[in-house]
Amino acid sequence: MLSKTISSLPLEHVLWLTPSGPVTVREALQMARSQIINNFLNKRVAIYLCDNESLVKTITSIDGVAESALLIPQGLSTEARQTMVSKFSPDVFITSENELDCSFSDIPCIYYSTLSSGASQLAEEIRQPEISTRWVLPTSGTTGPPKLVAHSIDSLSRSINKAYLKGRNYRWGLLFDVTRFAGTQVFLQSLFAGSTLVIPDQGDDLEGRVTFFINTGVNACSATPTMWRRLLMLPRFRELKLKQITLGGEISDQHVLSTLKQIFPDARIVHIYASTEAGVGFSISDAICGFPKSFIADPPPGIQLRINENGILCIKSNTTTDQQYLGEPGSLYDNNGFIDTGDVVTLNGDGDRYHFLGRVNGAINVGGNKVHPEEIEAVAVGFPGVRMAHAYGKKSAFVGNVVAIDLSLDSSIVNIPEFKGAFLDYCSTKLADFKIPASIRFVDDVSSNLTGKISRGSK
Amino acid sequence: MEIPELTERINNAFHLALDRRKGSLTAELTTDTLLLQTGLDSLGFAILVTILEEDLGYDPFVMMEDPVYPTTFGEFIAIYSQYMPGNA
Repeated sequence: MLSKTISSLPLEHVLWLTPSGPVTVREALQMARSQIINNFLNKRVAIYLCDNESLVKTITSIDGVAESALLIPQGLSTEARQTMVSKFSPDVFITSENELDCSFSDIPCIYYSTLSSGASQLAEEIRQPEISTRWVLPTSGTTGPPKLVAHSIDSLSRSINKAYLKGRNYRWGLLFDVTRFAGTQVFLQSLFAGSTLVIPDQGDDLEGRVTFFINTGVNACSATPTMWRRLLMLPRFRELKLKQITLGGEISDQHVLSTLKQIFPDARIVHIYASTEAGVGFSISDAICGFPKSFIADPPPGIQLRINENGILCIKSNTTTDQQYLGEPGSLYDNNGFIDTGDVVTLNGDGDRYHFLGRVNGAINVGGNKVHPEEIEAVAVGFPGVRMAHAYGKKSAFVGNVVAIDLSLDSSIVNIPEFKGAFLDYCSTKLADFKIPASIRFVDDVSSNLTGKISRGSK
Repeated sequence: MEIPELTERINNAFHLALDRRKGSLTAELTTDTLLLQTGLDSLGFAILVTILEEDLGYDPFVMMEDPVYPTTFGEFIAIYSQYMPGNA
């Protein structure tokens, strides 16, 4: 239970540092305790807050009280949000006046401002039975609306180093929203290890955030390789005195690892392999891409690894197996309790290291966002003049991969530049920005094999 | 290809990439302009590099042995000049 965890820290320890000042353990515990229990005990709570400061306070207070809690991410369409909420089926909503007008919801709704005002007795013992709140996070999205995956704080923080003594000297810079898996991990890492989490202003651009980090002495940061590459393009980035560099969410390539090592020679560099589906992963702390072959026979603590007959990495957690898709039939596990991650690996020339090749189903990772080629093709063939389409990933030094597409057109189309412009406009009405093809080639024939299916190989 | 022509091609590609990202130029493109202040995000840069590959025929970021991350517009052009086939 998170509030119990923080109450074991010194009362004046700074949990969160924001532009409006520090939030200590004392202040975090003062969030209207009795109101939390009255309104949320054993309930299914949907949380729709769009600033990280309110989110971290709410998550810390709700954990151990609510039966389950849904973290609704920013940037969803109203329709997508409503689908997510109806799948989760909440008893009550927490939101802010900026986000949702409570009068329009037929679900009881409580404003965050009423919870955060009103200090309660600090010494209140938490007497009700400790509930293991199920935290529900959407995945990074497959085709259609994101799937909801249920976790416990335990499962979410399994790979977190909770050693308090080490944590005291770390100040983590938050670059992602806490509703995203990457942001949740940093929030939990900082909390459990007794570190301070620096939360920049929601409206700041990356340069503003880095300046805030420099001013507040951030020395630890966790981000995707794409985000790290972007940080490397900021001149002031080198002024950060980083001791801990964590990479995750995408395959870490050797280039970004080597550059970070060169600029921050004293930093510990860790790249993490994990996914929202697995809820567990492992970290590699040499600054070399891939992972040692020895991890198969001698795995990192808490997990087992194996490569299946198709060259796909499978993971089994040694502790609880409480991941499942909400509202979906079937289980993620095979008969031996291993989760198929869908990631293809290959042994290097020396035979001592596994490297990641990509997704078995051809899903393209664009800056941490998963894209399925079939979805792009389905959209493309809906545009007048497109006879066939083949979408695939194309390597990009900036975002890992971009979506590329080969189109075979009807012979009536003669003005290619005009067609291309119209096609891209059409795509932008149907697809999220990272899904829109960055590269379009016009071909006579989209290659297909004898069965008539589009042949997919790695490019 | 000389630098002035290369600069113009890159300048045009910049505007095309901004169009695609539905953004607008937030800083004039001079040698010292910080790339991250131009209005292009990571995806925008990925698109820019793809547009340039279609126009110029090469992607220097894929070609480089040791990765270099440009910070200014001038550095960006220099990379394209350095890796232009025929200049190596």
